[in-house]
Amino acid sequence: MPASKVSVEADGVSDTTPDRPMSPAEVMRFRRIERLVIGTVSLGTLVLAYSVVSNLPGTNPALLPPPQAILATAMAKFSDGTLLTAVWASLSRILIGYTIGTALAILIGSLMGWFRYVEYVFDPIVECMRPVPPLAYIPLIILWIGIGEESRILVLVITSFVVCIVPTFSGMKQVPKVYVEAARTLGASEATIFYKVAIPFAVPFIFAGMRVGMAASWATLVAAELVAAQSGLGYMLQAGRRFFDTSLVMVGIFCIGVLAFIMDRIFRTIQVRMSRWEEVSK
Amino acid sequence: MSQANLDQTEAPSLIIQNIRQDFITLDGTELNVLDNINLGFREREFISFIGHSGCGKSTLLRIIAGLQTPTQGSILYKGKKIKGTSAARGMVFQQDAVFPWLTVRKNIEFGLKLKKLPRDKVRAQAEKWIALVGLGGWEDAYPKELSGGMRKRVDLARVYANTPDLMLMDEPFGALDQQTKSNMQTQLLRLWETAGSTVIFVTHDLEEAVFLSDRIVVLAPRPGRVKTIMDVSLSRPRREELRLSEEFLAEKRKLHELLKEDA
Repeated sequence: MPASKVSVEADGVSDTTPDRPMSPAEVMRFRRIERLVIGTVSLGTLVLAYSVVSNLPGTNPALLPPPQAILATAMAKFSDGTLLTAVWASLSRILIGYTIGTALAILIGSLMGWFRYVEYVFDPIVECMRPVPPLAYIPLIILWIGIGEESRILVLVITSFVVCIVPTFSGMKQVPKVYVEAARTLGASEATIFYKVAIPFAVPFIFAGMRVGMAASWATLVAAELVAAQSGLGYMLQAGRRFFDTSLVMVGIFCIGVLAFIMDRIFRTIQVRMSRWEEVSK
Repeated sequence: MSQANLDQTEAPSLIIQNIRQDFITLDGTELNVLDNINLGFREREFISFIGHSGCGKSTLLRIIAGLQTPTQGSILYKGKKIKGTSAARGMVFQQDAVFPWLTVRKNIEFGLKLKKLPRDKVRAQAEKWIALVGLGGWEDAYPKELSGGMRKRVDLARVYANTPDLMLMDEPFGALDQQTKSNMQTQLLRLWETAGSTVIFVTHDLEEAVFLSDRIVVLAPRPGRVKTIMDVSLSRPRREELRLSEEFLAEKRKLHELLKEDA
């Protein structure tokens, strides 16, 4: 039921009837349901429309494979292990590259935000790397170290590093002076202030950076695998194109979407938990 | 009155010697903020610094805390020259300094943990101060869930739990409403009676200074200097009713006159 409804009364005076007002919790709940229903209908319509069009006689199934064909491909690729091998190849690259890049970003970013001279040294480098899309490094990396596993991981290291270092750095720069001085007069050493005041304050910033970094890493990885890989989801897409297997391409796209979505949800959950203390959370 | 105000019966434990503080302003001119400050305070005294803005009262407090190095002069505590900050000189700021990422309990335990005390002692000490400031039941709450007055109590408990010899307070209740402020003042006096540390309290509120202090240091601006020191002749313990008594108003009037002269 909407928050208010318009009615025309018998005497012709039109106004909004002061129904029993909804509590904020009820409004929130109501909006959540609205959103879910409309969202489901919207997505369902899209799938249905595709299904109808792809099943029309005269549609080229090689270009618009019907949902049942896509599903069949997915089942086949799942049972022969191709799908899981591809997923694992991509995931393991992400785990290695992203972990190294993010760890470096947190380490260097937090030192940059805290120590003036570290900032002076690294800031120009970060500022030069930042505007360059990480994909642009791929040809250079291939020239330098070939198209092996290392080159794909290196692209991911660069991507997650560049994305995560900026919020980490800015979080550390924003630590209020009064917290630092309060810690100091409570007997904290400079090292203690760094890891018990500055880092905890910057945690929400760092997690925001990690979440964006994860999304960016996925994007970069798939692109890198399209260009140079013999395994992984990106490679699977490319193989699908080469063999004119549109179903396989669609299965690949779907898998990438689902994995990225799950990862983002995991990160969001951690992020919310770590930032629970913040004035405005969620 | 420029020389150290020494008490005859008891040697001062905190001596402020010849402090001068100059700052360079943005346009490059030199600004003399404090000049020739000489003061002496006894153990367990409750002192207020009062004066118009620009008299350098906060700067002087920061120098005593060790957060600011003076251009000239030194601070002696029990005969030893102080250098830098120390847990022995606790400070309560006007701004909210409670760490928002820690619960009430963890905030109060912050300084205690740094002292490497055994776990159960840290717990017990924190419990004691949580009870003393009346925050029982709120131990695991985050600061965002507390009111401004409650957060200030966390702040006070955090510094007091650290058992400093000297409590430095820079307009700690300046951001609170009148009612909360009065409550906090009464509560502060109780804590002070319990803990027995010397307090130096910076304020521009006459009533606050009279209600709390043994002695009030009146500072004059440009350059900041000691104008006079007023003894508050009101007996202790001081309770809320005192604020409306004739003797209280007389003291307040006296302080008002001292502040007004050539202001």
